[in-house]
Amino acid sequence: MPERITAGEKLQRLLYVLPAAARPGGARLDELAHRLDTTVAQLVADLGEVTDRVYYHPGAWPDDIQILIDADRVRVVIDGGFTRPPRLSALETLCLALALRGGASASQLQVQEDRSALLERAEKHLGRRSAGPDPDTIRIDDHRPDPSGVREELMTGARERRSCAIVYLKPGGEGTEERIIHPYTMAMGEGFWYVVAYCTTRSDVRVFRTDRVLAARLESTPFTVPESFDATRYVDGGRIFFAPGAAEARVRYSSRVARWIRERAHYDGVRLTEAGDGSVVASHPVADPQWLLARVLQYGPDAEILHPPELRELVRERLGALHP
Amino acid sequence: MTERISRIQRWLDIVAFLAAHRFPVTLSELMEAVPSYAGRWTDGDDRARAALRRMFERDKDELRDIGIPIETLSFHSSDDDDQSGYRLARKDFHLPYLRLVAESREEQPRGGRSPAAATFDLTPEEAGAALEGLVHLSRVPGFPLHREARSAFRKLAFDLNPDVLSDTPVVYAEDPEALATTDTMDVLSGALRGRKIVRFHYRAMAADREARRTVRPYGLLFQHGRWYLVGHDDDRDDVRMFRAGRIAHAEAEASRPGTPDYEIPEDFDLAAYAGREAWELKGGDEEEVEAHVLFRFPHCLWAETGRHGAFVKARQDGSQIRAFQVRRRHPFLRWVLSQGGEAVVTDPPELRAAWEGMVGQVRGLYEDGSRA
Repeated sequence: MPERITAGEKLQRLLYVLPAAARPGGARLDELAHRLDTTVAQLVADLGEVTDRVYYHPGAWPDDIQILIDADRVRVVIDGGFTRPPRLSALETLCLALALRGGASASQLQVQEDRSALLERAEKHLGRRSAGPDPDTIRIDDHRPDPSGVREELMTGARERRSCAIVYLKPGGEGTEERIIHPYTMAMGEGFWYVVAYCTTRSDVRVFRTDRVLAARLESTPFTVPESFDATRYVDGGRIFFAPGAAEARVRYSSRVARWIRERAHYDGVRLTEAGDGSVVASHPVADPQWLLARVLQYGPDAEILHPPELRELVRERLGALHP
Repeated sequence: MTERISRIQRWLDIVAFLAAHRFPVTLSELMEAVPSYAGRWTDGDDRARAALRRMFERDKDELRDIGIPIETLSFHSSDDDDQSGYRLARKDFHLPYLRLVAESREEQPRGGRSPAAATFDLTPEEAGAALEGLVHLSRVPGFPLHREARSAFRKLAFDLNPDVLSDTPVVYAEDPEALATTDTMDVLSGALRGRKIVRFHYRAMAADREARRTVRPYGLLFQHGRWYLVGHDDDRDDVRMFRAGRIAHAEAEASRPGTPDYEIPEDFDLAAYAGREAWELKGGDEEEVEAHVLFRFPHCLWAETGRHGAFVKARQDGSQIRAFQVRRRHPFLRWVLSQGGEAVVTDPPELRAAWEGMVGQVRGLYEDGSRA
């Protein structure tokens, strides 16, 4: 469903389109529409608001603007205002402040002081001179702590298409593993960062949770991402899947925790069966047994894997090892 | 004819008229030049003119809200009268030209191709940090200012050749709950910015009931893939966290628009609420306890790298004891259990006993062999 657009947003859109189309050669309509998250038809309608002003301004164009629209381009000739986009509004400046605090920015400009200095200059010269909303009242904790800089290294590898040597701790593994990976893409889900990468050791694409990558070192070896690679195959229903194509597991949740599960199922679309005694049985798609193990055990005795038997066996085995 | 003029057109007329004037214009000059106002201003009576003044005040405020810097100022006219008028602060209006350079300079901007828009230099790394950060921000599920983040991105990318900028490929698993809270987040975010009290229904899961809450928003927090409101709960007279997905029918105080209902205390620090685990939150009457947990090798390397707990001691087999401050015991024990046999509570004795009891209960569920 298209989002509701306020008059203010429409005006801002126009104040971007006019200078963009005033550049030599104009601008492609489809590119502008894409950049503005709208359609070509809507863009043309917006421009109609400008051109139609000639009908009610007596005598002549109100401001020296000529708009030429052909099959796929728009050209604007302006003499006077509207030659540049407006500066950042107070809310846009707030967004820049929040953006420069996030992990994605940190991977490009790693020193916090450099990001702070950039923000200070941008607020002064690109934003408004009046005080805006306080960025300290919004916090996007989009990343878990990354004290060793592992995530930044992997992000750089994905951006620059360079191999990375990693030390990986597989859940339930006996020790750490050293691997060379080609980080195809970063992924984020359920508050965790992942890297989807070609693993040269396994000769296949694997998903690594970055907090389990204990060390990462950027190599000079370049790689290319195969055209057949589709990152969206690893994402579904708010979760990252470790491998496309998941099996189904059934888990009973006691009446004590059932309301949490019902709430979650409401969003996730997980299939639930009411058991009659207040408990529920959920059918989870599972690509990674370790994910289900952690998820079920976090409910203590209020959750039990019913199926498949090999996952029940995995729980038995893990709990059997529990003595300090 | 004026009935055919849309609000966008009226605003464009105001901006265009002000942009064409270097010096302040009086209200009369502006009213006569903007077609939406002109007919009724010229021919109307005092009442009609008063209504038009109010209309212009609203237009001016809305234009300012979206970043059009219309100044109101007093000036001395040629008739030697003091008058008030309006001006578009052109230096504050146009975005400077953004130019990539090898090294950024402290003093900016200098000069430029037009007096209204000088040049702002930034390095490829700075441009990358700003643009990539904005892309990421605009994709945070339920982020109430995602349009502003996109718009800021467009403006900053206006002059830059995208070929010289590379961004990190990232795919987002958008949490359906966060996406479903968009309307709630709009209300909370607007109330927070305007410092307006909000009222909503909240379904507290621990009590399993819904209650009406009156809250002064102090901050919005996105963590673990979901949004939370942190604010002063007037009914409990304490600062509390509310999960946005459990908020329904949120409404901001509508009286006295533009006037704050409260101030955020100076000592409030939103960061103190970020990254808290369930066992660190206030609630119930349990006393805080320092729990010791043994992390087996090599899982202890994960705990160490991720700074889970504080290091206490290492054992000969490479495992580590790490300490946690625990306010709520049950969630803590469940978290340790979720480590899948790689972590064990060792101290204090009563917590260890509770842990062993929980492990025993879970083991009991799996003694029957395979279930259907």
